[in-house]
Amino acid sequence: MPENKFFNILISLLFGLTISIILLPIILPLTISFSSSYTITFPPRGFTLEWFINIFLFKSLVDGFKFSLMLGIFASLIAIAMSLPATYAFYRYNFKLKGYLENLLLSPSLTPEIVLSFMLLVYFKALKIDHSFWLLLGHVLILIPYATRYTYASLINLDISIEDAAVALGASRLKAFLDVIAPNIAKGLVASFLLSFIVSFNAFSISLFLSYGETLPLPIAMWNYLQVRYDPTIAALSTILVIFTLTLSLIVRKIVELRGVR
Amino acid sequence: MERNNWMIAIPSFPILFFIFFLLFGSILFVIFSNLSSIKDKFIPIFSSEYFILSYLTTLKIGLVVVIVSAALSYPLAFYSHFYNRKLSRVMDIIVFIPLMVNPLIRSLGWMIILGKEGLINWLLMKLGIINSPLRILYTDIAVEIGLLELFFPFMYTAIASSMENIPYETVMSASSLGAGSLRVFKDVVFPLSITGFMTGASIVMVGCAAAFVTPSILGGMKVKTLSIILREYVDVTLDWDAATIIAIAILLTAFGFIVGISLLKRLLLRW
Repeated sequence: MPENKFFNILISLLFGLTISIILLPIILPLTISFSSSYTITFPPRGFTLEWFINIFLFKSLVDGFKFSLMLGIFASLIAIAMSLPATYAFYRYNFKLKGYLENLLLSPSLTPEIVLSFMLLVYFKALKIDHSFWLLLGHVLILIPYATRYTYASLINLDISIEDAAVALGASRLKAFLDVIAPNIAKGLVASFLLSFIVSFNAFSISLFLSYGETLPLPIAMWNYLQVRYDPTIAALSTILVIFTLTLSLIVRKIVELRGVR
Repeated sequence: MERNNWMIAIPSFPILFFIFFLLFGSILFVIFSNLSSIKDKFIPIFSSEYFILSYLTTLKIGLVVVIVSAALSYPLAFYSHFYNRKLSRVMDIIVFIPLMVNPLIRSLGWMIILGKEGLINWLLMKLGIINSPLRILYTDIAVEIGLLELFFPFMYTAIASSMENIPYETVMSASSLGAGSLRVFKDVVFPLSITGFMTGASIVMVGCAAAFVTPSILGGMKVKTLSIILREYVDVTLDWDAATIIAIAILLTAFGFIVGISLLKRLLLRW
């Protein structure tokens, strides 16, 4: 323990400041969502559940929620289905170029998302790819680095010799993978799916540039709503979403202690 | 088992193809297919006051966020890693929570804090420090605060994980030889963890240059960072050539930072 009193006080102050910077903006929408005032003001006045009911009166928000849900589920499934074979091969074998290939899988996260979103928009337009695939393709691309990292983390504790044992006992490589490896990494894959889903559900720039037509992903629908109105409806929706995504991440933490996942 | 057989890479072909086709494909396509129409516009745009101001605003905001987030992260990471492991676990959870919450929602939270009828103005008026509300929202400061909250977890994680590589004994021996905690930090921990800071700085800088939702909400489209003017060109003025040039500028800046900082790190390690 440092003997210095001044140092201890400084640390406590910094810790308090950091906690408030991190947690206040997440907690405050929660208090406003019960306020009976018609604009977002602090302190909240009165108590009402009206804003929670109000969410359902806006078709764009309800549809946005459903759309983001579907988009997140499909994009995460595709991203994981593509990254599992690759990460498994990387985990199991050492070969030349492995390091380069691993870095390549992380490259979408090194490209600024707003640049990527714009480039994809121009590219898809030029290639005349059907609008309904734009968002899915874009989301899968930005999920790949996360899906690979999380899937890799789920393999870390796996003892690969069990696969060799199964093969030595007469199973084919594919059967060995499905019967012996898959059950061992299933939990990790579920966690990886949930985390990828959260990334897709919260993604903004990519959704803004690539959404087309009437049905917009939820963050974009909320952003549009905020440009027009500034009332507690959006705070109420935020409350629901904070609880939703934090519950998902809690489930992840419960299922599996993924190391190095942030 | 070690094999140097190219067949091993086959399972990764679909995903690599996907990345090549979309990521590299789109970037190369957009740059080269428009080269003839944009090549004469580079110099007028790069030398326009609008662009230069926006570039400087973006750099300034990024720099402020890097400095403040490092100033918060260093003492907390140092103290929690070497003196209080319980705090270290608490910090791990605290930096994890915001990553799970939509940046749009966090920006809304900051509107409630910084707005004209927000928490800070209410508090300051209650305390009688000010008579009329301060204008914080829709200024550079609001954007910097929002981005600080967005990127603090990355800076903290980078610095904290670089401290994990410093053996506890090193710090203890410095202490037992009579160095106070400030001295231990300055002469032992800081030089040994500088690479972590640099990693954090490049993540934060690149993140600030590319962030869109936070500056759009907290800056109210008045704080013109590069990503805001990119969106303006795409959506308002419909000048996609200009947007392409801005996108290239962001891309080059981001890679400049990543490459520059990794070179600097290598140089420091050798030295």
